[in-house]
Amino acid sequence: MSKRVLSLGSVSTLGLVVISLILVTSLQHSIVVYPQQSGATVFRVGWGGTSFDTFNPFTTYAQISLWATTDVYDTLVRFDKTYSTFIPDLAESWTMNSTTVVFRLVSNATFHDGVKVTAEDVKYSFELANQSWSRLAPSVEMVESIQVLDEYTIAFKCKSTAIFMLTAASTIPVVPKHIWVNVSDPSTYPDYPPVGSGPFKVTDYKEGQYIVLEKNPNFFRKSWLPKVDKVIIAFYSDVTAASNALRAGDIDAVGPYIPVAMIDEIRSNPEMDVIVPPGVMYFYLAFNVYPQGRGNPTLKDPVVRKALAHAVNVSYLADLAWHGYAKPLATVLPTTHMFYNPNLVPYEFNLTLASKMLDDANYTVGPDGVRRAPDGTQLKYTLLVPSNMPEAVRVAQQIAQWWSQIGVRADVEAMDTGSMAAIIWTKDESGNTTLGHDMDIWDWFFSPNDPTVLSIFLSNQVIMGTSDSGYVNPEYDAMYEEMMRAPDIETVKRLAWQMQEMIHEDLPYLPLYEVLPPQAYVKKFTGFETDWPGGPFGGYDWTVFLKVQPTTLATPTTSPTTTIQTTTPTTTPPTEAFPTSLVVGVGLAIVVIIVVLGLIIMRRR
Amino acid sequence: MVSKYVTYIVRRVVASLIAIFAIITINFILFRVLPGNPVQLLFRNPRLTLEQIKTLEAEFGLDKPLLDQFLIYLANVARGNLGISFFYKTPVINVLIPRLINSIILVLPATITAILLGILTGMIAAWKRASKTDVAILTTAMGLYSLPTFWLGGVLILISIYYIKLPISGMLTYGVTYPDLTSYLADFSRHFILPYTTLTLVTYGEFTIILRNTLIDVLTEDYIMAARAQGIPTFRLLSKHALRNAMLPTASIIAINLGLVVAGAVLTETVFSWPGIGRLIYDAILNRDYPVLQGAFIVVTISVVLANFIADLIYGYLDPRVRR
Repeated sequence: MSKRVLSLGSVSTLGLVVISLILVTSLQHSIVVYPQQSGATVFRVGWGGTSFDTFNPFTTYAQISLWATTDVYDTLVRFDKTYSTFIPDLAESWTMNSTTVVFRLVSNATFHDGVKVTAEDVKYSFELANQSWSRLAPSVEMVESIQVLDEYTIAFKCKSTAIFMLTAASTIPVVPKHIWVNVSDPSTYPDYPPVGSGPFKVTDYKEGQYIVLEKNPNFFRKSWLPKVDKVIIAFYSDVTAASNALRAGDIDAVGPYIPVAMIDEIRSNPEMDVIVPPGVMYFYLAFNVYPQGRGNPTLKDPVVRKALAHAVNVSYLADLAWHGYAKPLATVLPTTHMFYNPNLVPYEFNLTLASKMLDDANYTVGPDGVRRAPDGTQLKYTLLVPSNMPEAVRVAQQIAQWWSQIGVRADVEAMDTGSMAAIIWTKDESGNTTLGHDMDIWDWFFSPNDPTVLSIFLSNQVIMGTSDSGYVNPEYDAMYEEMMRAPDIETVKRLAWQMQEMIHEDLPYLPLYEVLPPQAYVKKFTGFETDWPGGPFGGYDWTVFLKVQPTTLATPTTSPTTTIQTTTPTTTPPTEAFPTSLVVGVGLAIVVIIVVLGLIIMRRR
Repeated sequence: MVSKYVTYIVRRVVASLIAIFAIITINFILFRVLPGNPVQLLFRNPRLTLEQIKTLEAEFGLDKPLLDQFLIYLANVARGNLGISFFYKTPVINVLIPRLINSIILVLPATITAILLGILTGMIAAWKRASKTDVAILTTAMGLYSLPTFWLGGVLILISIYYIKLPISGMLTYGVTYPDLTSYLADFSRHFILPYTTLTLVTYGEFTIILRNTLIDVLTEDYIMAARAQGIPTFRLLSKHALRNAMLPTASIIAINLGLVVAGAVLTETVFSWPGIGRLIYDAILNRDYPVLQGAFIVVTISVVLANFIADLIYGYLDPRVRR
């Protein structure tokens, strides 16, 4: 009996000794680099943003999924970094008149399975995109009919002006009809492995871990052929984990951004570089101005909103939150957007003026220091802010502090976005969606060529659950309709500018600042551009994987720094002894479990 | 005697089944009570049309009354169908199983090591009660047990970046081809060390403290005194007479912990980007991905109930009083 119990103690000791042995031996071999395929260059980028969801381009909502497949699927055309010039992809040329666009396809494009890409595939892809379950349906809304003229020619007839057709043509991925036509339910089709016609193909994918993209040597446009053999996209829990992985040498670049706290650290490393590209994301403060809304009614008074705007120092906030990696913003589009109106300036920060405006409008300070409307309603608000954005919470608290100086009280409530959405878009007695909050701070990401983003201020957007301000203005709605039917891009731009001026004046949104996403990479890779809106690793740049190359290739004169495949040609690392002990350790662990269980069961025999 | 044990087993089986059903029900209600719904999160897309929203709601079954949703869910669970994930748009089981395996690979060895380490240190501490050794063991165990996982993980990551140069994320070096199994295992264990060490260190203290305290209680019993009077040497006294009785509370904690292995370790998995079920659950909460949440909780629930059931069986076997 005592022997058995004794062995419990000794087995524990033995197990622990073995485990520590494994630990120590593996530490000794920590410099071992595992041989890669000879000569292959691999670029590894880590992603710390929202997780990858699916390869199906019609149902994905994740930026990383779009980015990972941006070079797997071809589109008819591509945009350059200004987002206003289109360059040929599958379509080698196109002609436009007022409502029709005719694309002429290249004749030598093939899908990854060897089948030719024809106009039928293009037509089928646009039809899939137009299904009600498809995320892309709004992008092809303006298409009235599609006509295949011959194997390599396709015509699109648009309901209104054709100027947004090229944007659609740069958005809709061309998928192989011969595969998709046999899919029973495309809305839940995982599309793995995805078959496209692009310069990369997906050769491996582990959910929650990584995607491996491999160069497609048969790609029709040789000048676009990738300079690296493989791109690996590794998924991380968050940007901190991804940035740490960069510092540890696990990866070569980090997106969509790195934490501000790590910028100096990474910059001081001579092997790494930090870039600060133009942004595509901005933060704003939304006032609930919805006529049927349930928030504090004083916010429906434009004077109150203007006074509050004068009591917010956006330049200070940009610095406070992002330490110089943000720019104050005066309009509801980021500066990279093609319709950004540069003439607008933020409201002047002037607490005296703000107080005076409220005084003049008869909002008098009560005994508790909080102002009251003539009808007695207090200027007391709840400010919602997403708790997963700590910098936004700090910003909200600072705003509340300024407002308290003009007799306005704001209680900051940080919560997860799901709960926030449930408070903002609530149902009224008759089951209609209405706005239930006072104000919120949130962010938007906008692709720089998308004019439809101004739709968030349309009157019908509350029931859609898009508008968190409840702005209702028929004049604005009419202007938006006019913009969508505009005959040329100049008219679109003029109207977009006017609409922004209207929002600036009416203040349903108080724009705060746009974020310049700092990104980092190791200097042994080069060749990509660093000034795309959203940056090379932000999930917007489709050229980065095609252009990235080892520094040694780009500048052969410099001494060859170590690239992945050349790091110490450790053909036979001294790994022999170590895994043996590992095997022994695993075996022992199993034995230990059996023994422990056996002991417990047999103890009282 | 045997027939009594059989009735006992039947009683435990029935109780476990009731527990599982209750938890499946709570499981359903719990996530519906969370404010917000998955489509509402997608709403934050200015390009989504009203028609699309309706389609999505119908697709997710969110347009039906709650009771109908519940009945559909029950019927599906009974058939082993956990539904289609809202986020991944693929059957939940396909997402769940690989994540589950990854979690077990990390958490099971760490839990076993923690148990071994806990038993060993707990025994030594009780034996050397009130000495400097005891204080040292207890302080270390309590200190590590109360450390935030992400902090300890962060410190280990920094140490790794600057000194020991171990990989700090994932399970394997992605994109390499392994010439043989040996190098595969070597690569895996290098990735394994940091999360494993973190998880072991933050969990073992629980076992130490409980074993030490029960052991000390037992050591003050009269029969120990009697044994001591017989001149039995301390180590033999401890192992033969004391540890046997002290193991009972520890055994039940071990059973529960082994059952929880399938729940993964959210914090450790997050810090080290280990693709386990804990991180999956966390992401699913943020995305309001009900089917994944429900599926994960059902798996966790059933294994905890199962572990408890086994513990009950062992108890019933060990202690005849329990059977009555």
